[in-house]
Amino acid sequence: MIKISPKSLNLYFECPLCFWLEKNRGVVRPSPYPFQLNLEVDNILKQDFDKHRQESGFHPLLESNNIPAKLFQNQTLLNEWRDNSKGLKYEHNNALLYGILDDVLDFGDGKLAPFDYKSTGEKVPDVYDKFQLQMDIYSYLLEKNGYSTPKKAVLVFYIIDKDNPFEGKLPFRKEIHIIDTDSSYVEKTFKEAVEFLKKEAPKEHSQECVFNKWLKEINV
Amino acid sequence: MSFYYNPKRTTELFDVKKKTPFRISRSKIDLFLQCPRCFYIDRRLGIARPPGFPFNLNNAVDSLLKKEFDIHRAEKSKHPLMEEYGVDAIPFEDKRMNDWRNTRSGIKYIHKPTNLLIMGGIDDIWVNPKGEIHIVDYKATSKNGEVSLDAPWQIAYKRQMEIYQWLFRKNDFNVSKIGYFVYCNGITDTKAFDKKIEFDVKVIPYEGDDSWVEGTIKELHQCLLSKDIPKMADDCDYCRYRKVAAEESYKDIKKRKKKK
Repeated sequence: MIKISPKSLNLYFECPLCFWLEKNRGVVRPSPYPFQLNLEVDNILKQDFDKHRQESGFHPLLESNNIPAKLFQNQTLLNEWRDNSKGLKYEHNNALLYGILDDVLDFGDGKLAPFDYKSTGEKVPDVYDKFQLQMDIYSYLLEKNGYSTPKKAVLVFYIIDKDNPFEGKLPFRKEIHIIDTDSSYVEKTFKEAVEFLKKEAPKEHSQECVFNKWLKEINV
Repeated sequence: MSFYYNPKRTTELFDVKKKTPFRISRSKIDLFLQCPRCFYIDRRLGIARPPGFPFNLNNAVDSLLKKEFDIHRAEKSKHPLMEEYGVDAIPFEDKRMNDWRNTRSGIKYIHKPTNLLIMGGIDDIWVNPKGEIHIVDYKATSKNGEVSLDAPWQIAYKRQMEIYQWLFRKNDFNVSKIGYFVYCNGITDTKAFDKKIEFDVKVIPYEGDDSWVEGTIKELHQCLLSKDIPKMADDCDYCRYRKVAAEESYKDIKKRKKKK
């Protein structure tokens, strides 16, 4: 079965040929070593939010930013949505759209919103297009799984405070960004990407593809 | 196109006819050792490998550590880590320190036989009572158990240290064989995370051997002079991607043409 994640759709937008190669031939773009430290920050944050989830359901960060939501209370279900081998899924015509979520907020009346942790060494956090796409897809997936959404997603940025000496700790400041989500185009895009994979390979990488010139200018 | 990547560079290209020394950074020496083909394409044809994401947390740890050691540099005092690990040294004070740390300027040396300007940006220098300097490199990660230098891929860390040692020796410094890695390991079992991640910081001494550097610079120079693009390294992910991507799309187009 074809499996499509937000990252795959982002790749489809960036370069259809790279997307085609990854999904149809298993030829994946090379990437540098993953940054273990960035991955671990996500893990630590999950533990912290889980603790608050179990204690009161509220988190000081949400309260101080006046976000009228509780942490989603179903830990078992959330663990499934966080699990790389499962995730939050929607199947259509033998193709799967899925997302691996960080967290979910409960706005009451059965309304759920995606809640994502981002850690960065940037001074000013950037809400990249790929974050928007990711949140739109998560909202769509929540809807397809029978939940309603407030048409919003919450991103919490952990930004390193570089003004002080290290002294064995990495200090963060936190910034919350609430973004509007639009799930209306997701279904169409998903189907289009799946259909695209059944067609012949495009002849060239797209102009925007970071591998385009790097590949093109050197004949193998 | 992504804002931090310019795929077709027109500057910093090796030109056989040019008389001015050609700049080769420590990371390009490492690229050459990883894959001569990628190195050649980058330095002669101006097409670098697409980069990774630049705002990672490791760089942040480096810049914070620099600030911390600078306090002791100004005071000419030992850092508590030096006491803890029995390192008889203090941070080295020198006007050029900021240049050496800057990846654009760095510590430099013109290698006469090849006319290559070899350079690299260091993290730190310590000095012992005998007046010998120690090269110091900061590393950050997060893993269970103790950090070490034993994994095969960490050869890159060792080579990095040895190139810096070589560069400072060529600049007439009295360089100790012993360099130090200040290795920071993020603690992951933090019960309550609020405003910071805590680290275990370890100082790992490493005895460097820079005898390979000279020979590698000569080989790298031969590679730059070559008319043909050199062969890829067998284990180069980037060359493999380039090759397989081209083959697979070509095969698909051919197959579909036959059907028609």
